[in-house]
Amino acid sequence: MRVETLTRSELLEEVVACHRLGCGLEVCVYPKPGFAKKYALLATRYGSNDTRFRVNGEEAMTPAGIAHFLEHKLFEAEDGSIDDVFARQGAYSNAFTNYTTTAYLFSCTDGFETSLKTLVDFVFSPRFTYEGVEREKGIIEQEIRMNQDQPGWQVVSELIRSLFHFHPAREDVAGTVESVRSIDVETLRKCYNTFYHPSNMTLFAIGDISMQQVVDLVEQEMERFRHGHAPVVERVRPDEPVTVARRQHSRKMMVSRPLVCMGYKDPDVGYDGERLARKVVTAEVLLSMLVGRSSQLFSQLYAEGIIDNSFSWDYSFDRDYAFVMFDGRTPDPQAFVDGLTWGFERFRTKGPDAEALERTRRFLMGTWLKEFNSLEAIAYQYLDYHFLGMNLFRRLEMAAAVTREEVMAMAENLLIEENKSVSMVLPA
Amino acid sequence: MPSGFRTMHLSDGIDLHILVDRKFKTVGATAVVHAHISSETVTKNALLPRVLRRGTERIPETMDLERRLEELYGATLDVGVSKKGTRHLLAFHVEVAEARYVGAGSQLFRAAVELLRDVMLRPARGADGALRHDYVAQEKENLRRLIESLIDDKQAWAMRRCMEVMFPGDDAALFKYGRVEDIEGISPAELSSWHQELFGAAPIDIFVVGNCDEESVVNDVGEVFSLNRAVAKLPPAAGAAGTSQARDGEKVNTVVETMDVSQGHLVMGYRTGLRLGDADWPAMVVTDGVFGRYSHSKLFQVVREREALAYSVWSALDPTRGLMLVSAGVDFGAREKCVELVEGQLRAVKAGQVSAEELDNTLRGMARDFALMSDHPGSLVDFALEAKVNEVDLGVEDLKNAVAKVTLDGIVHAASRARLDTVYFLTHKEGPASEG
Repeated sequence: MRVETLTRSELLEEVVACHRLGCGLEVCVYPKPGFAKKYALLATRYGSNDTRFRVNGEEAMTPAGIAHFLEHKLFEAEDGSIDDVFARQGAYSNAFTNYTTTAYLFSCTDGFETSLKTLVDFVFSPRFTYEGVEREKGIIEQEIRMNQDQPGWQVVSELIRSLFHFHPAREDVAGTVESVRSIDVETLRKCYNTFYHPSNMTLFAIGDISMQQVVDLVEQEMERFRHGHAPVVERVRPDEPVTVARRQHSRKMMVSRPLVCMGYKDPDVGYDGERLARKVVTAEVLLSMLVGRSSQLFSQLYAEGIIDNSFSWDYSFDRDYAFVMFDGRTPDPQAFVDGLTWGFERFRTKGPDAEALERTRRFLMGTWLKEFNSLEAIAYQYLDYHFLGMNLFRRLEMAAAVTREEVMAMAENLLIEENKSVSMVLPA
Repeated sequence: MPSGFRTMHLSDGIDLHILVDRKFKTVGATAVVHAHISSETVTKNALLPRVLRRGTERIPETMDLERRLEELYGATLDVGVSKKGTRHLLAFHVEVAEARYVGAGSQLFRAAVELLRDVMLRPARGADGALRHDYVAQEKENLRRLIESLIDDKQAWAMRRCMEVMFPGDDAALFKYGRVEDIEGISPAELSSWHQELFGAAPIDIFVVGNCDEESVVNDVGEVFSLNRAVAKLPPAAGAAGTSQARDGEKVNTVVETMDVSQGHLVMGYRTGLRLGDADWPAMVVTDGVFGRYSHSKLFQVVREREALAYSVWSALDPTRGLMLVSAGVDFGAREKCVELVEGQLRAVKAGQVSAEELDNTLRGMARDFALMSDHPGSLVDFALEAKVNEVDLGVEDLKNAVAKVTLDGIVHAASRARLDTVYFLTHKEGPASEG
């Protein structure tokens, strides 16, 4: 039996149809007539944050980095990489793991059906061998060490460890050399069986494709696999205080100029859906007004040479945590921190003028509209939003509706000293 | 000009090319100024778009210009320079939402095109009438940093050096961002008069791609760009003169240079004499595909997969200068073996040793690449420009169809045109003998 949900945007003239198949797999099809590229992504709600969980009443503690490890292992064919199989079909393939999601994807212009079958088949046919797992450890170790050499990666990593006391986001997605070494076949199998049940997964397809055809094809392909009842899974998270774990962290590396990453831990967490969507849009409005290219603050710090084009900011969020960070290269880390802090203080006391708010709303609407030109951008964003019960199509309308009061309330609650921490990488 | 664009001549050497595609949510306008590259002007050309991007007569402050872009529903304004053969192209791109998706008035596109014109032709000026001194000074510094940072990309650096070796003293070898040593001496007054001279007479192509109405685009762009200019002077064809003349002598030129690098960077420059528009060009495109463009191509399969000699290896064509270039990242001690392998694979293509599967994979890859271009307005514009600077009347569809018909005989014939001219190797200080 299939259940179909149609989500439509009259404003954007876009539509996506989601079906729940009998086996539990959700299939979302997003038609994009006229585009040459076709793109599909099979994702599970399982990421690096999900190391501790209860399955059918039994608690499990697994090594950091295991979701990412599992992704590497699944991407292996009997003789080499799944990449080669897709390449022979004329498709390009890839996979990624983040805090909350693991996804496998391909893109092509022709032969979509064949590649779609390949995608479903390899994700649902795991092959874990002792030799394969041991070999992979060496490869991932290299990946971890390579990341550790990158100053830009280090400065962000240390900020997150400063913001959180216990939350698993403290751990890097790939884990540590030690945690990866402790991974074994049995634990991989347990995690696979827990989190790769079709009821925990979504297949998203986009392009000039027929909804009915994709759903029929996936349904038929899924009949090849036997999946029992969905396991009862509960993710276990430690209690995270609202305070930051460390005010400051700095280390020395081989860099020509200092890197600074300043963050604020968001105390307002614990929900999803429409409410979270509204908060995220409010954060984007607030931050664009505060430090966007057109802001007084950006202009001033840029003119003084304290920030340059490397300056960027990002608001990261999930159900149980959120934070904002500002990062860039600077000749003077203290002036970077003081300048931004002073600017936020001024914003909280004076607030934005009406003209700035309207301008920023328009800016975000146009910026987000552009993303609907790119199938990849839609796929990534859609999935992020969908997994948090949010509707991507409503983002533009929300931007138009965000009020001055909401923006000010967020500034008052988020951008204050108690929530702040600073991470620096300084020249050795 | 075909390739899907509908072309019309506006006044004063300005051509407008429109491609309506309603699958996009936005519409973009790219104005390209054609200049002939030369050592006297290359650095000024590179600097100009950056200075012009800072402010206009009506909106002189950069922050206010950013605010204007936000008001126009997050319009983006990008500028840059590129080079095709001896043609230096200065590009100004504005992209804006199709008004109805953001509930904007119908004048959104027109406002964006006006801004584009103002940035190009009505810049912010100081009291002395020259381009603003502060903007010129800041952008000179930014350009200097950009040129100096390019040494960080060693593979691209090796490619540039190989071009300089292949075209000694030729303008075609000039770097698109110009020369650091020129920057200091460029004054606001000199840059201003060069701006006047170049923009007053150079041919300009304006490409509009996306969700728009053709008739109103013609109206808007026609009115906004109705300029009182001198008659445009067309620069010499980009592939002509200088560039086509082979370096004297039949012997392969080998150049080894050292730098602080973690692996060796090899570039092999072949002259083919075949350019976009030549009868054998489609066959050359397929030859390059069989030889080194894809991961199923001979170079990747043999040099990397079978011999494990290179971390990366690929070939590419220069459709304006008539070149085929091979690039590889290899161990310091592996240069000669790698050159031999690459040469061996090319000999195999010349001898017709291409399996049906190789040819089939390549033709499918090409069909895919051509199809994907229609999803990316930027690559359609680039293709149209390539045809324009080569003075060829050729569209994407034309080339796509011609490529699909290429046979093994055609490949053998095209491959026979490739002659190795230069081997360039960038290696570490200890010299090429020691292993990395």
